[in-house]
This record gives sequence, C-alpha cells and structure tokens, in this order.
Amino acid sequence: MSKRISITRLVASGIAAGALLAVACDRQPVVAPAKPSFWGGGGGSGCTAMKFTGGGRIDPDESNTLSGKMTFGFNLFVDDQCNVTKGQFEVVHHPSQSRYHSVSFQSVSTFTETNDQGQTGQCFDLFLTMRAAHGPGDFDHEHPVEIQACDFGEPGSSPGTGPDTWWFATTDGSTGGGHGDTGNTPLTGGNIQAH
Amino acid sequence: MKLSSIFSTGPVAIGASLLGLAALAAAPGAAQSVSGRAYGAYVKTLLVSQPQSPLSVLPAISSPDGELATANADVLSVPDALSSDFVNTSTSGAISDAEAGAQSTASVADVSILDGLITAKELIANVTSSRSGSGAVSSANGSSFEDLTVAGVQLTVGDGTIAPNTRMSLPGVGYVVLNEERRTGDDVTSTGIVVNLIHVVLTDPLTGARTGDIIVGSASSSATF
Repeated sequence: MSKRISITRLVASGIAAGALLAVACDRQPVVAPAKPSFWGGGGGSGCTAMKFTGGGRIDPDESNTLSGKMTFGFNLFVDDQCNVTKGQFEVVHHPSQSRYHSVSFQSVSTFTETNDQGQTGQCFDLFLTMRAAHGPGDFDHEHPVEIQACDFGEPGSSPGTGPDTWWFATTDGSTGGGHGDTGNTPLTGGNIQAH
Repeated sequence: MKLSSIFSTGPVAIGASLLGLAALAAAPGAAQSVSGRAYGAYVKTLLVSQPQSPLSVLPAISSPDGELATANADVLSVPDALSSDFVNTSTSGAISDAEAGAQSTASVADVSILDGLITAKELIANVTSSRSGSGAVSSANGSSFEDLTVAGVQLTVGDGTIAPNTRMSLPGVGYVVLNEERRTGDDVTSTGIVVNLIHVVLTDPLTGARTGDIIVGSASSSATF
C-alpha cells in the first residue's frame, strides 16, 4: 500500500506514551500518536489547499482489529500550510455502540493516490483527538485517532467496491469495544468529495 | 432519555420537508445549493405524537463552505408506538466552485414498532447526492435492515436490503412501506433523494381513512449546481 502514512505501522511503532489515557476503556499499553514529518500548525509544505466533505458507511471485515458497521460524517478544510482551518468529524461504530466526535486537530496532509483500478484520488491523512462514548451515556473520555480518506470519483460508493475509501484507527493501542483499526476500506455507502 | 442536538430546528412536518427538497432540487436556474436532513423516528397517531427526533439538519451553505450537523439519543420511545435505542443521525455537505455534495445518515437499533408488530436489530438509512462536472447523482447505497421482521415474517437475516418502495399490508392496522424512496431533480444539474426505511401508515379499519404515520430511519440529501 502506498499510503502516505500506514496507520497500522504507526500504531505498531508507537512512541511511549502518556497523557492521552482514556479512563473508560480496556486497553493495551498506551502510546501517543507519532507526529509525522509534515507536522502542521503552519509553515509546512506538504499540503495543497483543499476542502473535503463526506459521509457514509464502511463494513471492514474481521481481519481488522476494528470490524463491522461504521458510519461517519465530516467536513475538513486544509490550507496550503497544512493547517486545519475548519473541520468536524462524527464516527459511529455500530457493533460496539461507540460514538466519536472531533475535539482538536493535531496534523494533516493532503496527497494524491492511485488505486488498484488505476483511478487517481485526492486524499487526506489526519491526526486528531476525538471524544468518545462506548455504550449509552455522554462522551466521557478522549482518544487520539488517525483518519485517512480518499475521493476517487462520483458516485463514491457501491457495496464492496467504493471507489472512495475511509480508514479509521485509534492510535493509543486500545483494542476491542470500539477501538482498533478498520484498515483502508472502500465505502459501502455514501461519498467522499474533495473540492 | 438523553437527547442532544447540535443544530435543532424543532418539529417540522414531513410533507413540508419533502416538498422543500423537491423544490430545491428542481428549481430551474437555481443557485448552487445543497441540503441534508436525517432523523431517527417520527410518530403521529390519534393518541401520541413525536416530532422528528433526533434531528440533524444541514445549515444553509454558501460557496465555498461546508458543514456537519449531528444528533443522537440513547433511547427513543413512544408509548404503544415505538421503542428503540442507540439512535444516531448526521448530515454533511459542501459547495465549491466546481461541485456540490451532501450526505445524510440515520441509524436506529433495537427497533420495535406497535408492540412488536415490526422489529429490527438495526436500521441504517444512508443517502448521498453530488453534482460535479460528470453530472448529478443520488444514491442510497449502504442502507440496510438487520434482522427485520414484519408481522411474524422474517425478511432479512443479518444485514440485508429491501427493494425500494416495498409495500406490505398490516391487517387491522394499515400498511407499511419498506425502504420508501423518492427522487427529485433532473440528474443533470440537480439531484435529490429521500429514504424512509420503515413507514407505517395507520388507517381506520372501517373507513380506510388515514389516521397516522410512524416513520423510522429517515435520511435525505440534495445537490443543485
């Protein structure tokens, strides 16, 4: 896979950790998300100014540490200095009845990607912090999360074939109960649109 | 019941929302625009009513901009009409110089309608509308019914789909339309879609007159450019 960042690799190589503990989750040793070389916050050169919007559904299979129905909605504005100038994300993992909502953005890059069908897409790779609730009740803790999404054209989805893709992972090492890595998954429904 | 809404517009008649979507998507020469709306359930009977809840409505957007609206509820129940939980709705959209798009999703778990006459483990209504250089298109891909049973007949095992606008009689009650789908626009410069996964129409057993509606799992989107 030629993604700019491998979420799985990132988790596996995680840096020592600390502050981003979530009190309500069973988890393996916690690691903080790595800051990529194109770390944002201004002054970067790894971005083309772009706007993304999207929403829909993926169904990652059980080979992934986070599998089953996931729905999401978002909008994301990135400037040419890799700053998130506006953005909001909502993610729902249905088997675990988990909800995630964006709190803050740590870094982002935009890039182009060619998929196995030869389609060229516009993509983003985003590190953010999301508040979470697993089961009934209000959001009660936070997780570091990485999301990658690609727009490979319109319409963006069909069962099993996308072509648009969505990839969600908690990057603090937590597993089970709505945590883990969906892998890069074509949309079952919905659309990713790069502007 | 926990019920939160980031963007709340209060009760809105279903008919009005459908008419509004149609007008938006079909208006000739209309400026570029997108719309989105999703809710878990709506109930109106002779005895009880529940406005569209939890309701997400895409705010008005001017180019170039985008928005997201979300709402959720741990439990959504209306006595003698509906019980459900883990209800989530969201709608997002954006407009730029070259294209416009909107997406909406509503999911409802552990659904029981009219004291078990209709049940489902989970419903997901998922729609998208987009307008770009390649045309205008709407889709309901990703919509599904998990373990749906109607009047004792199991229609899906696990996650399954139902053909659009499937109508079943409910003797003594009325009828139900499953995967109710309505499309608007010319698919060139405008497009729109409304999906109601379960729409129970209550009728008077003697006269056949319509006495109420129960809708569970509704999502709509449109894009005009």
